[in-house]
Amino acid sequence: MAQREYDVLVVGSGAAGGMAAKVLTEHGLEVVVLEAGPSIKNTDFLTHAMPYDFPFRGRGNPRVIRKDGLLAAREQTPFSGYYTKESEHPYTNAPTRGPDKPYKWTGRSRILGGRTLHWGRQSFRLAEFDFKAASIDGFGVDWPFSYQDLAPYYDKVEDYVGIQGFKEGLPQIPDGRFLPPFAYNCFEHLIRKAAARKGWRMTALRTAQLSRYHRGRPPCHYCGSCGSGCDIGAFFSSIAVTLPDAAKTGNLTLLTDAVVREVVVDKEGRVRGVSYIDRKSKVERKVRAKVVVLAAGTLESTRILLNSVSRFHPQGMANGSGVLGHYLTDHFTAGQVIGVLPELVGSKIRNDDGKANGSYIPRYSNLGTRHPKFIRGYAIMVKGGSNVFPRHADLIGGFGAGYKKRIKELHPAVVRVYARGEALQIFDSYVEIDREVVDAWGIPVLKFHYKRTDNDYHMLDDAFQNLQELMHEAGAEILSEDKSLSAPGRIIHEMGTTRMGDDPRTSVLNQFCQAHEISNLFVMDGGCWPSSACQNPTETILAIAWRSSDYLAEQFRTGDL
Amino acid sequence: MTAKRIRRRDALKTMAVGSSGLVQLAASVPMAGSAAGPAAAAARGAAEGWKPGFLTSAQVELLATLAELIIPETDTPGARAARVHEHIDLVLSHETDQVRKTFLEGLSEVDRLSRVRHRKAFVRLSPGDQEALLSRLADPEADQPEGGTGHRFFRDLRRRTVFAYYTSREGIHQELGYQGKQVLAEWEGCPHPGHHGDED
Repeated sequence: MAQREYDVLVVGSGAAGGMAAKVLTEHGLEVVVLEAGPSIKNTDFLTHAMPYDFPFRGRGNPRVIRKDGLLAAREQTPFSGYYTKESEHPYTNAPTRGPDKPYKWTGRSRILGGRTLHWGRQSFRLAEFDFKAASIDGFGVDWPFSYQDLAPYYDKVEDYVGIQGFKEGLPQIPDGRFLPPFAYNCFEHLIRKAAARKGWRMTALRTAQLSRYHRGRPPCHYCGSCGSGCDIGAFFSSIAVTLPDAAKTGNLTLLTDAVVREVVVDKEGRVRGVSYIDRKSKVERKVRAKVVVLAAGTLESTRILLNSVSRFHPQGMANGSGVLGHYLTDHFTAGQVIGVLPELVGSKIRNDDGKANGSYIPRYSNLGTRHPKFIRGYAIMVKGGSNVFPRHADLIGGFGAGYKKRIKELHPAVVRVYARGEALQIFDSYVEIDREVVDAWGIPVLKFHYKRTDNDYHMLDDAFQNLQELMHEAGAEILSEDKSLSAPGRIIHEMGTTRMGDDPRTSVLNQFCQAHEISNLFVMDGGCWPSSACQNPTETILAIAWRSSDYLAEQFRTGDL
Repeated sequence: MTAKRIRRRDALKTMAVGSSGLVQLAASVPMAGSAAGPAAAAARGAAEGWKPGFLTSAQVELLATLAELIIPETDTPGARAARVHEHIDLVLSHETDQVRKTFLEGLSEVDRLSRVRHRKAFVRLSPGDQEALLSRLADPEADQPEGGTGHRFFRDLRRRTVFAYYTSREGIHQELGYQGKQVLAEWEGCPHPGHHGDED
């Protein structure tokens, strides 16, 4: 049967895949997007459901938790499989050393829109200095492009996506084209004053939530349910924004339930499409395209490349350098302190979680001066107030009427601060294919080898002390303290395994996410980052995908692909 | 699976009727040892037709009594009216054998202590004696002479009780007066100028 050949085949429909689909179709290219999971609409979400609407109050059946993990068991999701089931999507870990924790590959989603359906919405630009971190402190490599190269795309992303926030004039988190900011809650004002006394500027988390009508989308209605998906598309997701725009061009074909196994090559070793397994029937099929863009998420894209073994690519596709799968990082949480602010104890219960975000103290370490023990830095996240569930109830003593009263009094006064740091990318943290284990579709899975650096632990020491000092400065009564690093993977900001660079001997991709070795293969997700900064990555992923797609379209037009 | 969306006002109206009836019924029914006894009727309470999936009716009554001690009725409903015991039973019925065994041992320990000290089952003790006994379990130091399982059980029971209560209609709306999940036209933020900094 003669098969249609698309101009571009995009694997994945999350932040990067959705953006690639939008930009490429608007350039007039015929694009097919393959998504491993089912389709979904905004109206499928159970946005305003309450815990008591579900038999297990949203948390899920312990039986399902044991089998498929906490997220897959969540009941606020519109259907089973919204978060991937661990029993169907296994992975393995090599033994870890010392206090290091094994990689926790969590937050995975196989569904149209991918993780944009339930992301944290936090949107920051990287700093100018983040792109040349190696030149500043000597560790690792610089990015193959500068802030100035990406800045026009940050502008475009902000104009397009809609991001609310305050302009602060801080070089660590450059200002952009923001929608009007959401006002602070009580606890945020109080922490902000305490931070200022320590010489730090606190700002509201910049988030991709609309504070007013924007490009045909309605504003946030402050229901605080973002985690369950937005029924009106007021926060950015592929299904609310990029994929509908791609569809409008008439150039988009969407293929859901298509689990990609590998990228296939012709007899010259050039990419000619992918093979995938139908999620439901488990029948294997092929789709042909002149160009393939992997945007399945850092680790899934890497897995596809490592599984794409041929006589041209015995070590996996685009892996002549031997760095494919290496330099894996995830941001980490470096310590957490929970306390209560005396001014707010017993105050009126307010709708503090309505805006569904908190505040942020941007990185202050290693700016100008050098910390003696660690390089790079971390930001402090500030969360709190009256949320739906009083998590502090477990942190105080007692029982009875006094206990019940105390839970209520403390409810509006609780503040949680934690640090979010940059983990250094090292060659020895990597993934490979585990030849012993396959997933539910017969595809070999990833095996993780994760090592922390001393830098991570030194950063934890500093961050934890500063979290304590911040809470002390705010006059908080401490309820709990945790001085530990989160398990790698836990923050769901995986990066680095298909790193970009100018030198094909030490990197997989060039600065436009194009494989050095195969000109008609691109990898546009977070895997390309050669260092991870400490800002939440999605806005930068969107900007890079836009820039790379513009480049791809131009190359396509001039016949260079 | 479908999520029922209930208007808050309607939910509160329903709860107000249901909860007071349940508390009176539970308080007036004596403890019994078999599933067919009056204790089972008490446990069924307002949820007509509810049957425990894992616990015996005697265990349900003991659990409901303990949960009510942890989150008692005040000017708002307590754990029993919020049917915390039903939720804990549901979760336990899907837990591992080890988790269930540990939980049952904890319940038995409470009754054992009660019989050693007062020669009565825990549910038959006066409220004051019940509270005194639970206070010992709640105190990690005081519990040591009895072997130490009691305090671990207390922590586990309190965690389960808190979760079930504060995810119930009673806990979320009547006790905490949760303001979220609304459809608002504007976000006003903190209305207290005293909280704001000089530059705000």
